[in-house]
Amino acid sequence: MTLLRHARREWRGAELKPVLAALMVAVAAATGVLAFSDRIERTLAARSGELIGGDAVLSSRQPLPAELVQSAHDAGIATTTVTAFPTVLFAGDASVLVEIKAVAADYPLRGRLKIATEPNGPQSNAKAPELGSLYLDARALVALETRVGSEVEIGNAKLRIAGILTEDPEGAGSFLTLAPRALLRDVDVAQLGLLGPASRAFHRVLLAGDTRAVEAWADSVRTQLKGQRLTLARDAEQQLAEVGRQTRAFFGLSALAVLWLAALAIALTARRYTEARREVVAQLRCFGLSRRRILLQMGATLGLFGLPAILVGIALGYGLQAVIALGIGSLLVETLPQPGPQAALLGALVGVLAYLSFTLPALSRLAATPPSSLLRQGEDRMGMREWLAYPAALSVLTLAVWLLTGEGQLGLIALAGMSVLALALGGVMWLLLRLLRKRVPGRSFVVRQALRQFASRPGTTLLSSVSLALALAAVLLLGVVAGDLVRQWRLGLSSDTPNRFLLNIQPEQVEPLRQQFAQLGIANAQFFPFAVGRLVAINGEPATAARYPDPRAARFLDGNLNLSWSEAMPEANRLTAGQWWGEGDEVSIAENWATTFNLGVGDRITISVGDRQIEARIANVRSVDWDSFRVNFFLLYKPATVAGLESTWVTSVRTDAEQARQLGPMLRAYPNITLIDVDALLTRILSIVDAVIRSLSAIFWCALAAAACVLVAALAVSAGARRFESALWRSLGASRQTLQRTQWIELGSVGAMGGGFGGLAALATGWALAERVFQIDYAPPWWLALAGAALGAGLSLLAGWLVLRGVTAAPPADALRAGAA
Amino acid sequence: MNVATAAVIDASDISKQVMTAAGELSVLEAIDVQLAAGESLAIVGESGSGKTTLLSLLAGLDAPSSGRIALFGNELTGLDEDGRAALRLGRVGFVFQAFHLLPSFTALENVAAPLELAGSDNALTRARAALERVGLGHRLDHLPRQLSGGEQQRVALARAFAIGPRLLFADEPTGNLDQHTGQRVADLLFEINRDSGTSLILVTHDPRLAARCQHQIRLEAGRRVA
Repeated sequence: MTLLRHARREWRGAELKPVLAALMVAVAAATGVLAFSDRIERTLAARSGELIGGDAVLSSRQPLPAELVQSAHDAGIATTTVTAFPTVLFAGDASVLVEIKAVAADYPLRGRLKIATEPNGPQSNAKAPELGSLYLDARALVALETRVGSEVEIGNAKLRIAGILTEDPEGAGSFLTLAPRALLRDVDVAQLGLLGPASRAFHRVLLAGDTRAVEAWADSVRTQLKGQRLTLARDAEQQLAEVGRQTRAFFGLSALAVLWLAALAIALTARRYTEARREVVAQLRCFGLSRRRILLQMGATLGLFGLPAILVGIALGYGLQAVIALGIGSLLVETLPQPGPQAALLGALVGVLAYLSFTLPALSRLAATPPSSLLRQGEDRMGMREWLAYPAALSVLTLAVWLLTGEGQLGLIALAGMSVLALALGGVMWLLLRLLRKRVPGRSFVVRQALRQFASRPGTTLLSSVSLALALAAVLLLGVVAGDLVRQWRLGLSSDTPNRFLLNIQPEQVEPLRQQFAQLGIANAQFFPFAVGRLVAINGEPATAARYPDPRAARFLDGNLNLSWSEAMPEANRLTAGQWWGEGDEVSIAENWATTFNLGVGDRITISVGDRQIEARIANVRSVDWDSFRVNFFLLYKPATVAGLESTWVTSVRTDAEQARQLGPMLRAYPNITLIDVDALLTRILSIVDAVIRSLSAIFWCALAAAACVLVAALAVSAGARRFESALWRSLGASRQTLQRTQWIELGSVGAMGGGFGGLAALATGWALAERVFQIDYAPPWWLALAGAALGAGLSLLAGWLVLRGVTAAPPADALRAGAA
Repeated sequence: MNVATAAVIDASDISKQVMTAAGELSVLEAIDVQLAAGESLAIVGESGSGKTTLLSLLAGLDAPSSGRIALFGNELTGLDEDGRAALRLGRVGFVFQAFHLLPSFTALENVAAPLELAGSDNALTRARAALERVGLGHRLDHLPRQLSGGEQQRVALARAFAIGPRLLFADEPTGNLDQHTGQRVADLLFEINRDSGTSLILVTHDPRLAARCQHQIRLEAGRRVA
């Protein structure tokens, strides 16, 4: 009963509430992020046994050698072949670029294929589609404005949509694929002539059998691979686990920012809470109560309030994870499983840790208040032990989050980054306050007084402003700058930037196409031959991953080397070393390729294409504008060097809306040609960026809530002093209205400074991104600094209204009775 | 006491009751106070006799339960808190027992604050002059916590007089100071009071301080006994 009465008294005081609000925000952020990562990880884990549709997969950009497949058969391993390539499907006037997967009747060897008959409808197990039909994923169905049972046109043929592809064992974890998928039978693909000779396609052989037999076979063929890649199911599982880990780390690190701010609010308010009780504790100790009893009583009170706050935080956290999932979930083909209960436990654990580690330093100091402090007047200053306790508490909390997110190094970098930003912002604001302190501008009493108040509490002003700045910087960066950057980058693509790519053009189709382009009014289309080779040797030495450990080199060493040849240097290229073609076998390489392999003019590289090996001297190095959206190649040969090489052709063109509309029907005569709509691809990329931004925004709004808690806590700390000062001012003749206006201006300035700097930080980050990543001339939306200031001022005023609204009403007679607060 | 037409304070029959858990408590009963311009009055009595309550009623910091008070010829009865504050603005100074300087303001800013509040154009110049007058010209930029008790009370004096008040209220102005320092502050208080022709109402326990005033009111349990 005593405890309950004590608790009721505590609840009436203003000090505890911000502590509890901050605790709620911390628990909500931790629980939300953990519950969401848990859902993603369980989705991935559920698929891990059936990742690649077999126990192993052999893949290559060229058809797989028959003898390799035969050797698997000989070892008693079942195989099935999958060929994947992009093409365009039509339904009436609508068209969509899809990734075709041509499969045999026995697909898949492992795992289940599932289809539905309507979007979000019940799923059922299925076999490979029957001849003359296909499965489409829901995205393609939406784009074609059609449904199951209807027909789609592919090349010259029509295929029936037999189902919506909801689960494909070969595609788990690849939810960021750009093009929707279509599954149809290999026999149909062959009959439709969709793949010409040397067409760009991915060939895979799925293998399934006794685990030991598969591993033994894998070991035996590994040394014979030439440009083919062999992946075992367990490697794929590791990769998938990595995706799960990265998701968790990504969101966990964002949650870290919320936790730090919330912890700051808890620490601030706990200090205020204990300061207000210092005299009472000194008296209790005077009366003979032990330090342990005092600690126990305060601990019990905090626990009594902390528990419900943690429970509310958990409930909010589950709401938050639903919001996060709304963003990212839109990218997933399948629905996420319901969140499990362990996120609640872990979230509560993080909350308890934050609560304990940030209230204990203040509590233990309070319990240790010497009874003699009743006799000594003086300021209660923090001792070295308490100063040391806060960084220690921060480390405990960070450690907890590291354990939960599985991230050590990144967490440390995030912590350092945030601290540097906070210090930089704090430093600039401190200078501003110093300046203001020296010379208060303005003639009006209200303004001068407000600014003087604002500058005269540098501690709380800086804490509030920096917290606001950090949180608002994150929110504005995601909410405005990111979208704006992407939009400006897209607008910045010049009006003649190609927006359609045509791949897999057969050599005899080049001239007819050129003429048809001319009829459509598309001039100057540059056609390039295109072949896929394998890098074999550099300066006579074998080119192996061991020799070139640079990860960028890996993708050129695994057999997927695109190459072309041309008499003239293509547009959007510039020579940086050497001369355009001279004598002998020659090749031109792109600058970044030269850096990756440390090559220069005069070095020699050898590639193999099919059975042919071609050695050539590097004649020059080109700088390539990859953003030009033109067809570009790392390796460009002198035509004579590669004469007789089998190839398809590629081109890129710029079409207006009308030309784009006519291009589709025109290409129906060339079913083997793949048309890639760059606008649609960009839209898809942007929708992915947008989904991630939306999910992250949910977390950063929590950061803003945490910053608001810091603000409220900082104001609560100063409430006593403000009440007394108000009484004093009123005794000197100030009206309540004058004091209120002064307070609003002061609070508005604190918020505006924090918000304004937050906006500037977001703009600076945006500018840096524009310079370094997007490489565009970015016109920063300067109004954002003002918007940030307005938002910050609004938040600060709201916090002021919550905490300080009664302060200016303090009766002036209090000034006579009160000692200084 | 001389009831002049130029009375700065004219209070008659004022009483104050407050509600407590034990019921209504009478803090002051039927007190009359009159004070003319330039005069000084000491309110003395035991702790809890109602001295501070009387001071706050006379200054308009609080409203009486009954009776009437006129400050500078203006009736306080019927005015709300802001109305009473407007009457004090620029005309009334205060000196408190606990000094009550704004802790985050420098000495100069503390003294300039009421001047700026009253709309003075050269607040800082006048504040500087006031601090020099109390011998603290070298402490302008110090914060209250960097000053001794005596120095803080001298800043408070400078703040009270800087606006050139017609009436000064002082609540135990030497109560927190040692005897020697208290003596110096009291000397300064009466010296400035005399020079500026300000009326003074002083609450004190100290009979020597009370004796320096022209008039005295002694309270016992809320009643005037002398």
